[in-house]
Amino acid sequence: MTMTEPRDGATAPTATEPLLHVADLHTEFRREQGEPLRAVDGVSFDIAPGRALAIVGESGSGKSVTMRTVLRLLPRTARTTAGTARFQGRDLLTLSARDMRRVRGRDIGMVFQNAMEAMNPTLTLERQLTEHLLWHGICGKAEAKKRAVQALADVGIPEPERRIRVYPFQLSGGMRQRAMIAMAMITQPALLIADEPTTAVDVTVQRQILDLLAGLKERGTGIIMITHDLGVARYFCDDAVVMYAGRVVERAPTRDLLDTPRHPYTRGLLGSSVEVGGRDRPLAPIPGSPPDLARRPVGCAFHPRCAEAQLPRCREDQELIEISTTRAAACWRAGDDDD
Amino acid sequence: MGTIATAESLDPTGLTTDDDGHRDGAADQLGTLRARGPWAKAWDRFRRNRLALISLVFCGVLVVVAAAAPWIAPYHYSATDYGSQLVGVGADGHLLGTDQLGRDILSRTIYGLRTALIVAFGAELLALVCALAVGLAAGYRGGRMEQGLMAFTDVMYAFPSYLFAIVMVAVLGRSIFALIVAIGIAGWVTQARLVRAQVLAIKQREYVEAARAMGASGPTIAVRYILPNAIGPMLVTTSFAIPAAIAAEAGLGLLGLGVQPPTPSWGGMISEGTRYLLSAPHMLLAPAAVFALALLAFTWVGDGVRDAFDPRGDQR
Repeated sequence: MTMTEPRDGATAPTATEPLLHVADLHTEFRREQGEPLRAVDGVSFDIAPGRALAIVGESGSGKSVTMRTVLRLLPRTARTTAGTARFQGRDLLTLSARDMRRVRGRDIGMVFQNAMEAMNPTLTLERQLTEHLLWHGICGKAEAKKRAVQALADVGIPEPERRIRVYPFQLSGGMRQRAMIAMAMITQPALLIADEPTTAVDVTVQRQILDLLAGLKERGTGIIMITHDLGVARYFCDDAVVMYAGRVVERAPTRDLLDTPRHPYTRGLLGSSVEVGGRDRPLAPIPGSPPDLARRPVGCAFHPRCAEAQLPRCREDQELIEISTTRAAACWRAGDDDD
Repeated sequence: MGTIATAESLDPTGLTTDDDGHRDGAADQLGTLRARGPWAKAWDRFRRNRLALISLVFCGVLVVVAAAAPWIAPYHYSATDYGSQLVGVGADGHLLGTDQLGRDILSRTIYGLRTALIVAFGAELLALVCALAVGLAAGYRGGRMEQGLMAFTDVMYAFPSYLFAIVMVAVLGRSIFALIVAIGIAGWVTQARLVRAQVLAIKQREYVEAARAMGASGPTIAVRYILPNAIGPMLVTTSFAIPAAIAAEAGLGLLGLGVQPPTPSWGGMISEGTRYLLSAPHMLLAPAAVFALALLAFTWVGDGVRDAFDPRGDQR
């Protein structure tokens, strides 16, 4: 059994329909006192099968909360107040808890940043990899074990039939991360969400992980990668969404985004990125720090840190402006920059 | 640094090789993988602690003696020998002498051990089961269950546990069952609080979120992901609670609230012994000495268990 085309073709979306269509998502966190924090504030994006989407932003920009909203894995203090997340024709946000459980792990896989933390220390790899196959009733125990061995082999772990008996902490960091990817893809999900999958690993392992994910993409899996690493986004992702203070500030094919950023924040990110900036360009970190969501600046949330800000125009709310069919940016001057 | 830690740190593949050098086809270079689970690691650490290991053996002997009391004890605990009352150590075939009714002290001490261990283990089992069930439910589900538990534990905290045990014995009568319930109930609330605290901490761990992301249901997460990771610290408190329960049983016996005579309990024997302290000190010394040794051994085992489950244990 190898990882080939996604399971049952009947529900596979057509080329025109995105795999996941997120529209106008709003999630807020309750606080002891004061207004709830709007952690996700009107986020929309699409992802098609076999494509990879990067969600880029500083920590606290709401990228992880966005994906947890889609998977409905929010803590109890959070509430999704509006929006839709259509996945294979169904709105995930209105599914029953039971149906949602069936989607998680089976149709949507998730890869976490730190495999050491994300694996149960009391379970062997075999248990770890096969449990959700059994929960979802995908196959029986013997078949599950065969699949687990195959999945470990697929991610390049040598001697899988032996390593399947060990506990997570007995593996090296890189192997552990690969084992976690094996765990996420063993059910052959149509969509894989990877939350900073390469942040906690060595550069050499980083490359292996990305190649693994690229293999999945070729077989038609849609991949959403949450990352703050623009180098990884450029290398791996077809499209990118830049988030700032809970909103999408720019959306574009990755290449265009990095070559001709239209939002000053995207430019700022590029300026502070070591990998993408290159040696000929001096590092230009964005002044200031990401805004406290409790005191979100009026209008464009980025304007207090923006070198190009012009008051009072920037104190007005700015929607995304469509620049072309594939890209949009939430800056009133985004359209002027054509040169 | 212990041998186990050394072997693992020298092995760049993160795999350990079987001691017996078992070989199997292509796996030659790697040796045989041995799954060393958290339990095996805890045992390895426990084993390195000599005092705990000796104490564990001693406790094992105590358990065997208690279980085999009818075969080991030279006399029945209530058999009276009117010819030789209050005789000293070694006299008339009574190795540790007799009490004021001519009963064999050695036999009574052995049966007292039986009483102590049945009460201590019974009470702890009861406390542990209640604590795990309630603590897990409260910590995982939260809500009203949690509020109720916290309110209840606060009341229990404010209530002196001896007073509570006295009330329980008064209500249920002086039986082993009453003692188990009295001591168990006095103990489970604190343990339930501990389980709850553990659960709250583990609930935040990423692997619990990962399990949810893979489609695990609430009960699955509670039983497969939270419970096994909470059990180590629980084992630590339980192993310390056992000597405490032994002491509590003796304490109640001393107050005359132990098991119904003539069933022996160390507390009762010590209490009787104090009355003949000057004329027959052996009546007090035998049960008191065994009691002290048993407490010490169980406490040292507890120490060993605590160190074995200490997350920093490997770095020493």
